[in-house]
Amino acid sequence: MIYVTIDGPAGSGKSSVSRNLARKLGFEHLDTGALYRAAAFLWIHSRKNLRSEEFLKTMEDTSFYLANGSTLFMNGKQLGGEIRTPEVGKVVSKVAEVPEIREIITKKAREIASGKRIVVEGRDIGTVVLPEACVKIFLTASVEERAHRRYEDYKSRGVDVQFKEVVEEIKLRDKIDSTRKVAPLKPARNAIIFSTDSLTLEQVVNELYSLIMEKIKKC
Amino acid sequence: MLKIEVAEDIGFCFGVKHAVEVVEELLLKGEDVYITGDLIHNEDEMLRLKSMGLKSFDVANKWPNISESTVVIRAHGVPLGILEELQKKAKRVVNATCTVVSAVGELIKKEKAEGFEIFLYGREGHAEVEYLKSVVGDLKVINQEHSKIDFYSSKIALFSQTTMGIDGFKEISKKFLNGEKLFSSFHIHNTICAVTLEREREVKELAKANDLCLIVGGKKSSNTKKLYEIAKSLNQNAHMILNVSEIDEKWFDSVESVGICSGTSTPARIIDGIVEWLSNLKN
Repeated sequence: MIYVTIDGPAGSGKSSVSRNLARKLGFEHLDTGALYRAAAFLWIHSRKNLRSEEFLKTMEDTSFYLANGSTLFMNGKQLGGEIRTPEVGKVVSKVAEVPEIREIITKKAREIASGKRIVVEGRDIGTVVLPEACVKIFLTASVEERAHRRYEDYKSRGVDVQFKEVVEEIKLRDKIDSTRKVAPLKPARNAIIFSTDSLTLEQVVNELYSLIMEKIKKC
Repeated sequence: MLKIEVAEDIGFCFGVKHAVEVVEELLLKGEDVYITGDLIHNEDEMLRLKSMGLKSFDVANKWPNISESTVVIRAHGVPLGILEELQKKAKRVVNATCTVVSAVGELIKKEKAEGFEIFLYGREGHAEVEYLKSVVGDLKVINQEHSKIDFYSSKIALFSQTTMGIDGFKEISKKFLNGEKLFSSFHIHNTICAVTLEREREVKELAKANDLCLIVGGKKSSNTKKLYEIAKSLNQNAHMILNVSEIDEKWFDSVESVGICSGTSTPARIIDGIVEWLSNLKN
C-alpha cells in the first residue's frame, strides 16, 4: 500500500488535483470531504440532534466503499449531486466540528484506504487520519483564488449563487477549520506545502507528480 | 501541550530490514513470491507487502503450486524439514532468516555435537522456536511456566530465543544453578539479540519517566510483547498498539507526557504517524 495525503483549505484545488493525480499515478482516490458531506446530508434528512446517540449510531452503521477506484458508495447507493448542494455546504462544517462524528469518519476513511495505493484528500488526513502516510501534501491558495474556483464549480453544476456569497462561505470555513478544537486545519510536520496560486491544474498535477514519484521510492 | 518522548532506537532491526528488502526486490523484479506464514510479525507491514504482490500460505494446510515461484524463508526461520521440502517444490528458495537466529542454530548444533543437553528459554509455538527445535531434535523449551527443570545429562547448555527478556533469562539460569541435581558443565549462552536488549533498556527508562507509555508493534511480535510486559510492570498506563487507529483519546485525559517505543518489526513510519497524531491532540 502507498498512501498519498492531500490536505488544504476549501477551494485550494484539492479535489481536481487529487482526482487527476490519482489517475496519473494509477492510484485509487478517496475524497473524505464527500464523507463529511454525506454525513451532513444524512443529518439534514434525519431530524435527529447532531450529537444524539441515534444519529451517531446511524453514522456508525452507514457503510461506505469505493468502486472502480474512485466512485464512492453509501449504503450501496452511489453518491452524487445530492451531497454537493449549497444546503449541504452550509452545514458540513458544523457536522465536521463534532468530535464523535470526526472519529467515526476517520475510522471509515482508514478502513477504505487500508492496504491500497490511494490518494486521500481532506483537511486532517496527513495529521490524523493517515499520519503514517508516505507522501503528504498540503495545498494552499489565496482566499480570492479559492472563492473564484468554488464559484466556477457551482456555476458549472448550475447552482445559483453569488460570487460574494462564495467568498463569505470560504472565509467562514477557513475560520472554523483553523480554530476548531478537533483536528484544526494545519499541515503535518513532514508535509510538502504547495501553493497553487496562478498555476493551472495541469501544472500543479505535473509538479506534484514528480515530487511524489521521488518520495515514493523511499516509502 | 503533551510532551512526547520517542525511544532512540526505533524502526526495523537489521534482520527485519533485510527480510523486507529481499521481498521488495524480488517483487519489483516481477517474480511470483511466496512466504510461509508471516515474513515478520507486523500486520501493517505484511499488508503493505501483500499489496505489492507477496502471497503467503500455511505449511500445515494444502500447499499451492510453487513450482514457478520463489519462496522466501521468513526472518524467524522455518523448520529444516519444511525448508528441504520447499527446496524440492519451489523454483527457488531465498533464505531471509535473521542472521542472529541462524547463528543460534549453529551454536546449538555445535554444543549438541559436544554432548550437551540443550535447553532453550523461549515460547512454544513461536516460529523461531519451531525452527530451533528442528535443528536439534531433543531440544527442550523452558520458561517461567515450568516450576521444575528436569535434566539427565551432566553437561547442560542453555540458550535463549533471541527476543526474550534478559531478567527472565537470568532467573532461568539461576534455577539450574540452584537445583538439587548436579552437573559437571553448565554453559549459559546469552543469545538474546542485542537490538532487543537495547530496546528493553530504553523502555524501562521511558516507562518510568513518563505518565503514559505506548509500545508499538504487531500482536504476534514476541519482542514487542516483551517490551509491553516490562512497561506495564513499571507504569500502569502502558498500552500496546499496532498503529494510530488503536489509540483511545481518553487515555490522554490527565496525561502530560508520553513515551513511545517499538518492536523490531515496526516500520518507522508508524511511529512518525503516532507522533504526528499526538502532536495534534493537545494544542
